[in-house]
Amino acid sequence: MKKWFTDKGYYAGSKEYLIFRKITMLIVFIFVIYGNMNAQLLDKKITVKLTNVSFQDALKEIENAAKVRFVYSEDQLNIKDKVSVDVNDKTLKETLDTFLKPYNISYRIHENELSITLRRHVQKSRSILDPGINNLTDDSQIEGKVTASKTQEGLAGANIIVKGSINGTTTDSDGMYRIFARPGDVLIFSFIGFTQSEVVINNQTLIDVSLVEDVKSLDEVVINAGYYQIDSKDQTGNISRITSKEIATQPVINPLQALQGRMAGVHVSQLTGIPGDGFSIQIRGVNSIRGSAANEPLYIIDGVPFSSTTLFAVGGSITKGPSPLNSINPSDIESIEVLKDADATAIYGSRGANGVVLITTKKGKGGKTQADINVYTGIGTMGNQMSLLNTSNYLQMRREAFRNDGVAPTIANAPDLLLWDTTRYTDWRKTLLGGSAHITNAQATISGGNSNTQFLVGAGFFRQTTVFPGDYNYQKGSVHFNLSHTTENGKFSANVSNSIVIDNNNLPSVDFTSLMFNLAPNSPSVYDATGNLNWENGTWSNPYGDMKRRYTTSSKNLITNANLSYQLLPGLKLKGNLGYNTITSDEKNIVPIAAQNPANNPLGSTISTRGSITTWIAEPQLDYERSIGKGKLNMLLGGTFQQTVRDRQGFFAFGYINDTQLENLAAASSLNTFGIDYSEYKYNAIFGRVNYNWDGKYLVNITGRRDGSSRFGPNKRFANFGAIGAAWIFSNELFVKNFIPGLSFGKLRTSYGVTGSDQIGDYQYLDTYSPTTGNYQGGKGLIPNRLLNPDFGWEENQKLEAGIELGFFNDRLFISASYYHNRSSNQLVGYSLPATTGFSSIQSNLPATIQNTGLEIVVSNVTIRRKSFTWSSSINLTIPRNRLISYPNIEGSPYANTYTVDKSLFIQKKYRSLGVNSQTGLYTFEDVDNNGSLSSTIDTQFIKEKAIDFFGGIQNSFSWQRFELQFLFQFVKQTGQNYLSTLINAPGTLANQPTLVLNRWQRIGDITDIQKFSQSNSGIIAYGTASVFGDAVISDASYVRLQNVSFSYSLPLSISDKIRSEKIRLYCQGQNLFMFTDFAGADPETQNAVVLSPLRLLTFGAQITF
Amino acid sequence: MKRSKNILIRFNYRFLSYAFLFLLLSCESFVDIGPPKTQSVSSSVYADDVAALAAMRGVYHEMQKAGFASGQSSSVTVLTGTSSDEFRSFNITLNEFFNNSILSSNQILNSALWSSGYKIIYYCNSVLDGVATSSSVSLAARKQLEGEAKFIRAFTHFYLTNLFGDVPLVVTSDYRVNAVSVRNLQADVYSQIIKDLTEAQALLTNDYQFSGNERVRVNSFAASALLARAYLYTNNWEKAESYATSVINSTALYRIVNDPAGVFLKNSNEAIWQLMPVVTSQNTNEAQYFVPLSVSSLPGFVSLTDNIVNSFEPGDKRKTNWTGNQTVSGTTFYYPFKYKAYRAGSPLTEYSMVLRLAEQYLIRAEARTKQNKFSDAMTDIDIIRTRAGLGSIQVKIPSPSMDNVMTAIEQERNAELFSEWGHRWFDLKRWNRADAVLRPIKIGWSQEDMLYPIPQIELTNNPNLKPQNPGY
Repeated sequence: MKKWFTDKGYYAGSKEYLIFRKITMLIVFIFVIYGNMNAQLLDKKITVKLTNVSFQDALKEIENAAKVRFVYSEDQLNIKDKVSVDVNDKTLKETLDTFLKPYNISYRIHENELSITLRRHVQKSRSILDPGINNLTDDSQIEGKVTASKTQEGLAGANIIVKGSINGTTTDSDGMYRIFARPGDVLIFSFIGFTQSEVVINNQTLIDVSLVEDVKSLDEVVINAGYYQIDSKDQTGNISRITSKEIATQPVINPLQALQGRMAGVHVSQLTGIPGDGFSIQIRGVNSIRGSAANEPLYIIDGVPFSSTTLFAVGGSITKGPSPLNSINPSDIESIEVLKDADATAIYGSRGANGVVLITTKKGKGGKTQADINVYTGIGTMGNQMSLLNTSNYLQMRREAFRNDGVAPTIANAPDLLLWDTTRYTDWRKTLLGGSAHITNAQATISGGNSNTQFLVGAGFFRQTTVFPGDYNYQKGSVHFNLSHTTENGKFSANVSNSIVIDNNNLPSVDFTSLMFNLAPNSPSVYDATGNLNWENGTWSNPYGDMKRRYTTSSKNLITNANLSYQLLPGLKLKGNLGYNTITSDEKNIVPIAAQNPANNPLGSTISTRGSITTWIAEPQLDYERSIGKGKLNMLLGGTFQQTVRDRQGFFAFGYINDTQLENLAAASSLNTFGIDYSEYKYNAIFGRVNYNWDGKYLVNITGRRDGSSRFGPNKRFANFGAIGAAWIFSNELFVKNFIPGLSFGKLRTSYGVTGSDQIGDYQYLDTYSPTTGNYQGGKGLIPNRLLNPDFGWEENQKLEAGIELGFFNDRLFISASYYHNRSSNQLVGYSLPATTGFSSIQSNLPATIQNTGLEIVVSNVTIRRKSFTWSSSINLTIPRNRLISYPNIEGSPYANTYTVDKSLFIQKKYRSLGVNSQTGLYTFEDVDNNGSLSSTIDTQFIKEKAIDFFGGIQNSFSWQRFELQFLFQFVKQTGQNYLSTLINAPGTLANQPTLVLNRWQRIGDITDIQKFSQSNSGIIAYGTASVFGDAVISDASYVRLQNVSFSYSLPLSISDKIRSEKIRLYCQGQNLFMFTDFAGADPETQNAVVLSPLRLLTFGAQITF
Repeated sequence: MKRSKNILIRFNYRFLSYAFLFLLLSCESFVDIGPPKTQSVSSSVYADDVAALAAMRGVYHEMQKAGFASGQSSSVTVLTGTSSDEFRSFNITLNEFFNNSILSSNQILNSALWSSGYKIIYYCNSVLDGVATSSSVSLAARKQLEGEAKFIRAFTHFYLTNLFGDVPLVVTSDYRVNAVSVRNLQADVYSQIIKDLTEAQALLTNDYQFSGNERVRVNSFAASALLARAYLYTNNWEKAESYATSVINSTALYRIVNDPAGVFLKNSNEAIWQLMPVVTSQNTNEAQYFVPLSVSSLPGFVSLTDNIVNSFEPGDKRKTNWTGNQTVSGTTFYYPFKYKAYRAGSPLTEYSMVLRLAEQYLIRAEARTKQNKFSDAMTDIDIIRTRAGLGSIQVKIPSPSMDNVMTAIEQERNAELFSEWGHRWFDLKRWNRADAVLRPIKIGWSQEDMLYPIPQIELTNNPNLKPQNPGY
């Protein structure tokens, strides 16, 4: 349509006017908020009286009278007639209608309200460039505008197709279209989110169509499936989704946390409550024997693969593994889709075995420029932590321990009883974890544009302090930018996104939760009389010393990508996805001299790790769509080129003699490197998809991928993966419609396919040599890393799924259930070798097979929908099962003591606890071979499972007038590791204990499950055995948690109008508010008594939209 | 005009489609990333002398870093010493060794003795394969490396066969062969050891110039010294004597150090081969593990038994120089103090002694005794005694016999070689003295305990290794 203006088109105004107009546009863009003024312009009353003037002069007069400019092509409006106009106080609309109609001229008001475009509809010879070229000769040009019925705004990119042909076009940015068709043809108008409309052509050449928006129903939801988009009702696969709406109700740092409890089949758990720490995610169970890194899903952010594995290598730091996903700002996310079954994941081939997490960031929307400012602030307090003994209970425990052992306390073994003030009491839990973490989050976005070009600019800042005493904080700053452009003819479009996130984490290097158990409640005062740290002559370890040990990380993450699309032929698009991501991180673990007891002449040390992960990806694609018979065919063919480079260096700097230069590695007296790693990963693939939807009833989706990965030897680099999915929307069958009256939607679907996993690390097939850790004779040596096996290949994951989706009463009740049955085989594990080969294993494919099955049920329900009140709820439930089907020669493998065939991968082989011996008061265990001693290979025959029975979430939302309330309960039925497994100090030794130890054995004959207080070797060994090898460490860890509450109130328009804002919303949100559990320990989610449990968060905020 | 334009467009589409298909073609070369930057592929390791030498340095480094040759708590020195009458154990992990009740599932047995030994042998075999197939390693370097690799392969087989009896001889790096290897008779293992050592002896140079005059890599005398020991263990007295003599006569390189305190210093005149400590700012592992860290603490892992402590004759300088003691709660513990630099950060003054001249004198003394050359034997013993500040053995044994000279040799070996490389355990075994010595002092002693069990997991992974040693 651009042609229209450029073919000698001119603006009926001066050059100055043009500049003025541009400036005005700019101002309009940024500041001014216009209402809908179209009506006003057309309603303007004018008076014009002209006789026998040229057509052009008449236009000029009307321009002057109405204070408006007409924009038109002189060629087109080359009307030689003399005309007369006579209007008196008529609206501009009436004037134009009367004046222009005889000439077949349509008009359209520009958004800026200053000009009106005129266009004459004439039969003209078709241009050879016109898409309608292949049509028969006697068709005519049909033109018109497609608008949304509600707003009357033009719909850009709506599809118009001549029914039963491949002849089609799309609307331009204003909703205008032009197509060639013959009388009798049927034009089908369609646009995502709107109901399709059909118009039969009689003799008209101007067909304006107003499409009705699909009201809240399943149809509206368009799911991002990665390389393509699909209506959720047409899905043949299984994809779960949350949107910015759900994310916005949760004050979270990491996008993964936003998924918790909200998706069937997706189990997310928080590792600790430390800000910036990681999450574990399992999509439909554990597929690989090779630990958690091999079970990570594939993350794709706006088409760019994102590495989920941490770069950091520092052991023993406060975090359990900071997640690179922290470098994504949750507020920038539009939606997160999780691809689960073969139909959805097979197009990702070798990377799809563990599911795919697609993160789509926010895009600009056309229309008036909108600014959105969202600020919240709040506090986080200690979550579930175990309560500890107070001084009197503690001293009683210690004295009883010495009495039980028949040992007299000495100043060496009992400074707490003999040297320290026994009347002191420090509640270390309160002192170390009782603070408030302050949370501040501010986000601002501006988006706008016209129908051709849209933009979005967002910036955000997040800061959270910790509950620990001391000045620690996690901060994240981000800038997000998105620009989309579609040419007037709708053929070419480009979408460019760019986001930069910088996060800094400044923490102590020890989790104070672990310290509180190490400290006696009557421990000495923290500072001495002179204000220095008090080390009490070396008799205790001062926690305020640890406070000076710092752990800092900072990372910078840049993601940029461009999606280009060009329509070659109607229905055929050439697309390109280009992406680049680089994340650089710097981590330091600093132990200053000041943190240590000066009596030991300490030196300072710093462990520093730096690294980067850089990925680029290029994916050319061809997308083809056409109607065949009663159906619609979609085809996709594409290719992927990807490279990822990881680079990491670690330094251990030791021997600092003062604390001023701790971050200067050169100031250390000894400097060693560790964890030096550089690896390159290249990946190349062809993928395709054929989808056929017949009459909205029968759907088939075939996807496939041929993959090449540099992680395999030359003979095994390429492999094929694929899946087929099929669905039957039986509710569209007449006989169903007639027989089941309440049923509004019904679908049966199934899929089967094979995906793979290449997550084994790079270069594993090569027999490489690595440098030795130390020097020999002045130089590094080289040692072989592994045996050569160029022949191992992909792990294979066969996924089978069947599902049913039912909607009742106009989908007010929607039930979907799916059953999956996945088997991953060809496990890539170290194949055990006898040590005579020099190695204990060789990386190899084993015919070991793991089966994951499960049932996922989602019920969503709009219970009440009244004018001012709605209540909707949804429940998701997942029942997962896992089993090791086969593992040849498991007895000889490194997993002999870990796994058992026919059991799940979650088993633990333990000694059977026989409880506390009523005579000795010590923990006792079954000695299977009766040889008088316990052996960790023979007597660990008792298998307990640390596994999930079922999990899910219950969500409710209420809205009443301007109030909205949402809450989410998360529930998990599981067994887990209780406090016994993480508390290493036996009750009775110089360390505090949870209050539950008071229920201990005291005298001969006592029956209890807590052993006697003891500080002797026999007591410590019995406790240690119970803690490490005993089966009592595994117990019920089920819980129901009020995970999230969000309450909001939107101010009435009368108030928001006053500050010229469109909407003002005030809200408060809570996270992890309370929990029902019988778990013996701190938090059943972390299952670790000595780490900080997830915090309880309460925030207040306001969102203002201009 | 229109027509030509039309063709042009069609051409464009066709061109685009071809270009697209071309783009899609998976190219093998794209996913070929070449060798890693932080690791070396084996071909590049043997592409020049420097890198090939680094591979050999890697072998020495790994020997010293962990495992049977490391001198740590899980080395031959500590484990066999604990099994014999040298050490008292203070650590629960050593209990099975101390009580001579080792389970075949014992982790230390597997990782520190069996697996670490075969890992070193694999390293040696890969060096041998690497230099043999490389065309760019110089002839001199090839000779040198081949000699060293063969020596260490023989050295490791020597310890394996003495610990486990019949063991697989591994002379290739092919895992498919080695994974199904069978146990070779000890005699065959010794034949290979002697073959490797003889070849190494011919390949290696007879000084330390190649290693910058540091005695931390093996030369031809190291091969001769180990040959002397191997022949002694296989009762070939003449050869044991002649190889020991060839070392003893090389006085330009090797001399008995007069002061016992100087014996274990780095590059001491008595050293034939030492391993260089590889942990930064740390001396030998032996010092780290034997010497208690503070005046009030027990020895970390083991202390010397009364048997060893009481075996020193009055005035023996070795007792004052080579043992230390500490009294904790009224009990005095003795610990080996041959290596004294135990504090982290102290300057590097000591290397871990593997082969030294004193042993060669004792080998020759024993070989000569077995050939009834009692006088010559006692001359050798006296060289050792003189350094210890003791009188001549010839005075103590005026009428020498096989029995009393052998008794003197046993006494001298105890006092000289205690807490070094399992000499005591192997002596008890080859002299058939274990039953007599250990039965009275070890609970549940049985003759079969002289051989350690083959790790259970090895029998599972390679059933060809069955049967297990008797008694397990």
